[in-house]
Amino acid sequence: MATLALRDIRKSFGKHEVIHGVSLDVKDGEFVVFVGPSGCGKSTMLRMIAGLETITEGQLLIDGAVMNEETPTRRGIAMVFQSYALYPNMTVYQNMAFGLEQARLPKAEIRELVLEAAETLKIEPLLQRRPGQLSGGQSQRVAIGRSIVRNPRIFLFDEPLSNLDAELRVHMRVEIANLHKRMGRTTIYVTHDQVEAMTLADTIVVFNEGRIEQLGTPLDLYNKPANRFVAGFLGSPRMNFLQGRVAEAASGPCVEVPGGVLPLPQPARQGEAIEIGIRPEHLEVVAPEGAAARARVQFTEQLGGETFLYCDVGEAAEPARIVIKRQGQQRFGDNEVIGLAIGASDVYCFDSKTGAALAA
Amino acid sequence: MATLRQRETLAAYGFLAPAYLIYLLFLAIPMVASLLLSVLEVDRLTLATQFVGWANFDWVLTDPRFWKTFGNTFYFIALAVVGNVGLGLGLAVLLDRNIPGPLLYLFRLAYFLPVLVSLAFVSFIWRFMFSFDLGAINYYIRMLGLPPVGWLTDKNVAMFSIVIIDVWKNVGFFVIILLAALQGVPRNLMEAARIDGASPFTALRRIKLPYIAPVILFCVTYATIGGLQVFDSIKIITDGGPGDSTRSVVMYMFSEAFSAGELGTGAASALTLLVVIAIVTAIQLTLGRRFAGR
Ligand SMILES: Nc1ncnc2c1ncn2[C@@H]1O[C@H](COP(=O)(O)OP(=O)(O)OP(=O)(O)O)[C@@H](O)[C@H]1O
Ligand SMILES: [Mg+2]
Repeated sequence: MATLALRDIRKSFGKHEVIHGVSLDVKDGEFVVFVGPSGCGKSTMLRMIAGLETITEGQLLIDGAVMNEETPTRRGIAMVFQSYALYPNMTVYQNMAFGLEQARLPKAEIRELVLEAAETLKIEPLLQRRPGQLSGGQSQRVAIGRSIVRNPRIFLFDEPLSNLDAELRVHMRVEIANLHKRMGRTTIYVTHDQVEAMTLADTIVVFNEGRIEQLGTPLDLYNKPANRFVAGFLGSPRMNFLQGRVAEAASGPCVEVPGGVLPLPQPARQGEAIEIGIRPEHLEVVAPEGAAARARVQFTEQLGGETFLYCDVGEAAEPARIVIKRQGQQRFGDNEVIGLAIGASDVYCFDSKTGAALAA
Repeated sequence: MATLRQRETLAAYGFLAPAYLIYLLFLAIPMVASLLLSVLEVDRLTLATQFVGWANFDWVLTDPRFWKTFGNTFYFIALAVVGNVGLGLGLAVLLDRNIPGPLLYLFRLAYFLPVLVSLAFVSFIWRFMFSFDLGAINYYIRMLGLPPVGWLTDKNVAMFSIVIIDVWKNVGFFVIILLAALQGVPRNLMEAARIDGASPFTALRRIKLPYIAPVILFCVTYATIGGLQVFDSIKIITDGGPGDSTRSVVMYMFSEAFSAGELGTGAASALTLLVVIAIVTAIQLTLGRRFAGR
């Protein structure tokens, strides 16, 4: 059992405030992923939860008890670092036993716990090695092992997989997901990787400049971003944004954008300037004749299973660049003109000044 | 016409030449000379030389005075290494915390300044400080109502006095090196220890010190080699006295070669010292490699 609550947390380094009031409730057993651009304060937030960084203002509660001044051990947290941070002078066994020794557990019990964790993570053959003799993947496994032996209430991960190669990352991601399923511990996980965020999270928290922009389930955030920032942050390739002006057509509300006219999901005030967002996978390529909008293909990226089309829309003098993602291998000539089509419900509208999503 | 490569090679030798010349003049030639001298007997008036084989080494190695100075030197080394590296480590650990930048700079400067001052100068000052009747140290000891100490005249104390000077002069060097090593310990490592519930002292003992063990070993080796060559301070302060209680190997060598004028035996003792330094260094490097081989 461990719930975590942040109450209007602020953090300043000297005069410089980097976290500007963050509140968050994490349920027992929930897997929360922090995402956001570099320098937005994810690590700082995580380190405050861990007790490695003081909390300037606000309250941190674990299971309802205020923990602002408690040591990491009293908080019952374990943390896995991006750099693994294994003790280089100790064997894998000693690394995993170190925390238990500090808790003054009997030797026999330590042994049992370490062996059990080693078995879970399949690192028994490595127990007598030193960190210098481990591969990156093995090191990260040991670092995770070191954190689970102490049976913490809350797991904290700061970009644990970003030093691994792509294949290993997928593998470890699945293992972390399994570990969480088996142990059911409250987990907070910082990552830059969209796939990790979408697949691991019960809840994604999007940070920007020391504030929470939005939180919710992965698909909620993807489908109903609260603003332009979240819309642009989740999804790869990222959402296309175009400046538009609301118009009216026989078929319903629509918006004039560079390159043509797109349907709108809801009526809006005629002539109003809005920003619209279109996910690359929602754009259909149609014959240019009679199409409502047109684009010129600048270049294509063939990924085998899918194709990215980079196109210019609008005036040739100052075109806007958009990306279209199509399934399979699609061939287009450079500078080929294509027609675009999109369902009205796939067009996102944002206030062109505040960036807030306009209610559907 | 020489190829580009040949011309470049020639230029390279040209650039290296000055350094090589200095090396030859001040290191290589004296080294070869002492190698030669060690198997010769040189008449100090006529400078006539005569090949004597191992005789000089025989003489040195059977001279009880040589072994006495040898023992003195190792006694000095033991004390100086513990003093320099031990105290240096202690001070480095004290300084390794969030001290405001300018203050830390001041501390480092303060500890390092004595390293920069000439040893001869330092030794003269300390000779006055240690003086029995007029010395500043005994003045304060008397003020406390305690009996004055024969810093330079008591043969059981004199070596300690030499060590005190050595540590005062050199500890700053070790502080700087060890502090840099401590600050090079990855921050995440110490944070992992905090999360594991280790006290600052445990983290220091179990993680930080093992992490910088190779640097500590380097300091010990460096201090040892320096100690084997101890000369200036002793020469100025006690001149080996009282009796022979502070006479070092290098002083023995010096007095053989230049006071007694026996260049041959002087050279032989110098070579013996060289061999000892090589052996000590080899032992410490082997130990170090075992440490670093983790
Ligand atoms: N010890 C510190 N002293 C001063 N400023 C700091 C300190 N640690 C972090 N900051 C600042 O706080 C802000 C947030 O940093 P933080 O490391 O939390 O970002 P992040 O979201 O983890 O970024 P990244 O994705 O690159 O890891 C940054 O502007 C950073 O410069
Ligand atoms: Mg970070």
